[in-house]
Amino acid sequence: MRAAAGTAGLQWASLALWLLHSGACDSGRADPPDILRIAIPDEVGQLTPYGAAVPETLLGLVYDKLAAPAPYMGQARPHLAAAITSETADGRRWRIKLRDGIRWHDGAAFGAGDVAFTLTFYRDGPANRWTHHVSETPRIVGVAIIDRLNLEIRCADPCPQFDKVTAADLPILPAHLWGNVREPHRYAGPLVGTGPYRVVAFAAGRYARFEANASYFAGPPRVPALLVSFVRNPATAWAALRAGELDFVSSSLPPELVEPFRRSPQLAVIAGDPMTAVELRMNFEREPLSRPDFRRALVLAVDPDELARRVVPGAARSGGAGYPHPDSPWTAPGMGLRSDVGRARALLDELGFIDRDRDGRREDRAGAPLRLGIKISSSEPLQLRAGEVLMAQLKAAGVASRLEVVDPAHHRGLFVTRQFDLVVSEISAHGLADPDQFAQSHRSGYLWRAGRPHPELEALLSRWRRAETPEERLAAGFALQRLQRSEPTTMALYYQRGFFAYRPVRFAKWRSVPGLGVFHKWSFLPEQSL
Amino acid sequence: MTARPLGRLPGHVLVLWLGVSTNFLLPRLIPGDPLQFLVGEEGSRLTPEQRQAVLAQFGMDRPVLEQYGAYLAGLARGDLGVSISYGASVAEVIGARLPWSLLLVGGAALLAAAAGFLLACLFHRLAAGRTRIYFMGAVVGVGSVPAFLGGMVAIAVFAVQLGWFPTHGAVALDAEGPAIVGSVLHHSLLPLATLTLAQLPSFFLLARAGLEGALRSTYTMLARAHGVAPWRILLWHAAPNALLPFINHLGITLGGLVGGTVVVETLFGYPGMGSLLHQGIVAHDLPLLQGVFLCFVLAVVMANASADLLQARLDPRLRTLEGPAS
Repeated sequence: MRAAAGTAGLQWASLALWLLHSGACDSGRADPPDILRIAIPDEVGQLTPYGAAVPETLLGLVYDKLAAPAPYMGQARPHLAAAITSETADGRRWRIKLRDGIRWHDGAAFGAGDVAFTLTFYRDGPANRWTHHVSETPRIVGVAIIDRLNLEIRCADPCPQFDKVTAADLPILPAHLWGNVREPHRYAGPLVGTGPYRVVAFAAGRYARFEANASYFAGPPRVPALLVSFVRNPATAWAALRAGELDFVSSSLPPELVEPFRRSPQLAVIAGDPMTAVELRMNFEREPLSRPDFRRALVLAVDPDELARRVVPGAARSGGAGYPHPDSPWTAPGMGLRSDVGRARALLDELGFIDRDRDGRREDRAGAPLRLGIKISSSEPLQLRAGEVLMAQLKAAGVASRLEVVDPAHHRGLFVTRQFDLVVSEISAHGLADPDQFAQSHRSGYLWRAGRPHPELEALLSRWRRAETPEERLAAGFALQRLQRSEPTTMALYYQRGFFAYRPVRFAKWRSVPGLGVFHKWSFLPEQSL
Repeated sequence: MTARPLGRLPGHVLVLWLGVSTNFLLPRLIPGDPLQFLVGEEGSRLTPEQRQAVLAQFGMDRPVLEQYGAYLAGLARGDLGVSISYGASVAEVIGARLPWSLLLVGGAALLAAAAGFLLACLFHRLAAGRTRIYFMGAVVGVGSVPAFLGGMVAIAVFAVQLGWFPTHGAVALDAEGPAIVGSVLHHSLLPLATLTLAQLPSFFLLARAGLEGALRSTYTMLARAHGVAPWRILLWHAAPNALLPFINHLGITLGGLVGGTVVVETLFGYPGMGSLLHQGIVAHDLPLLQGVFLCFVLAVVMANASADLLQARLDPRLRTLEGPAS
């Protein structure tokens, strides 16, 4: 714990040092203005939907989806598709009519065969991040090509939100290049999509260079070329931005750096909503967290307003707005939470966790001290700060806790190993604002695990699966969310706002799209394309 | 002449085998699952067949002992497996990164050694009394600054404020032809300086101690009595003897540095082995970690073996002890 705190302290020291140089001069090179230089903090090894942890917004430059821009706000419209219409009242069959005249970057014609191939390949081939959205939620059991531009899909259960959610989620692959691929995670073929940018150079883990697809069906991109560098350390990327070596950094600025960057004459800051949150997940498979009342008591003991105020002042919304994302149209109204330490204490007393030896910490009925571990990734200093505030809040309710800082791989692996009591982590828009994923998370182990008995939840999931219309599906989703609220397995601590620094003299038309942030293809496309 | 180093060969081979086996075992002890990185949270929901289909692409669907056998057999063929995060041959991925690290590490170790030795000579020749304390304090103080902090300061001052050097990367992406060499040097200077400063005190202290011992020996006293110039005594008589432990240290430093550049490479966005190691850990990329660790083991073994060979060549006493040169 001490070592971890030291590490975080060093990281903050480096940021503080950074602030000393707020008056840095602009020493940027005069690069051709037709290339926009961007840094992202991920070391992208493969630029395909099978690449591990490749940002979807980067993929979106190359690959398109049937609907756009995203499945998060219920506003997805046909994109590669000209129309996506329900064929039956039970929401099981959908007809997809594709736009005519679209071509892959290599010149091949795009058509129904590509869509049919992609859906089938994601479902039957080696799994990727999208597999469960064709094999399970929803379960697509039939894909029939009607003609070159028309196809029909059939779901085992109703899939009433196929047009707004599933169609806006799956990137489409070219069948003529991927048709014979048996090991997609090792794909080494041409990086060809239908998107607004074609890949002209890619060095794994270092950079990717893109050129505009002038014949893009949604209009030619405004920036002729992009050079995306993979710079793992955001502080280095921000330094490069100040030095004029970059034009945009896709990492959100920490609160302390927003104002210094705003004040810099060469730089500007744009706010974007990535629809992400930092959450506190509870291991519902471990005592005493397996008891819903105990989890509820913890949630009542936590004050998300104070957390947001102290950890990310001015840069986040309190998690008291509720879970999942309060801005999503798929989220039930009235999901807000109010901290109540008194009720938390009373609940813990009722459960038999009482401070018997008057040392300020509760013990269970057998007299064993109650002490929870809070695991935090060593790469997230802000979350470490959140953990420290959390510890103090839990202590006020008599719950002793300790911070356990672990490396990022270990932290990610906790999902499988389940070696935690509480874990602070970040959740993306996909988990927070995609209604299908919310249901899926109750099966995957994220919010609940399939096979773990919970009759009420199973009934609600069954109702959700059987819902035939968008309205019924929405109502079933709301019921699921209310159950999560009353028997929480996670809670949002704060919803981060993204603040992205850029050089306006190079490019100033960045656009915020909820769930995608600012760096995405829509920033480079004509206004009317979205 | 090479009898002693050759005599150590079985030891080096044993170390190599132990290293290779540990490389295989250690990454597997890290909690987690590569599927988490490949397919996200759904990794835990996959059917056994789906898991196998994904892992089979990387040869990780087999029992551990079988994987170990395949790993050793692959090593014999020069096949290090397939990286999970890059989807490409580990040998290719390492091949693209190793030269950058060698440039950085080799350059930093040699520069630190040369500067450390030179400073030690100056220390003995020019400094006296309190100046010695300040001198030593300054060198040790500069070297004690953590690499990440020194690097941040270097970036802030020399890249951002003054604009003399690039903040990150190994080469300008638009550099072509002979300009590439200049660009590589330009990009490497800040990370090189950061690493060099971090290594400097150990070389300085070792050389200082070695020179001190040599300057107190009878042969230097004799040289002084013969009226040999002090600089000549220092460089001609004392330095060669002080160099011997220095070379050993250089070997150890070179080997260790290959794996010790994670912070500097991450800070400067430098595409070397350190950043590859970081990626391997983050992605739970077992084949990549095996390959990277193998390189580190090889680097340590080869650097130590080279130091042994060099020492045998430089130190006549070693040759005498081991009989006539072969």
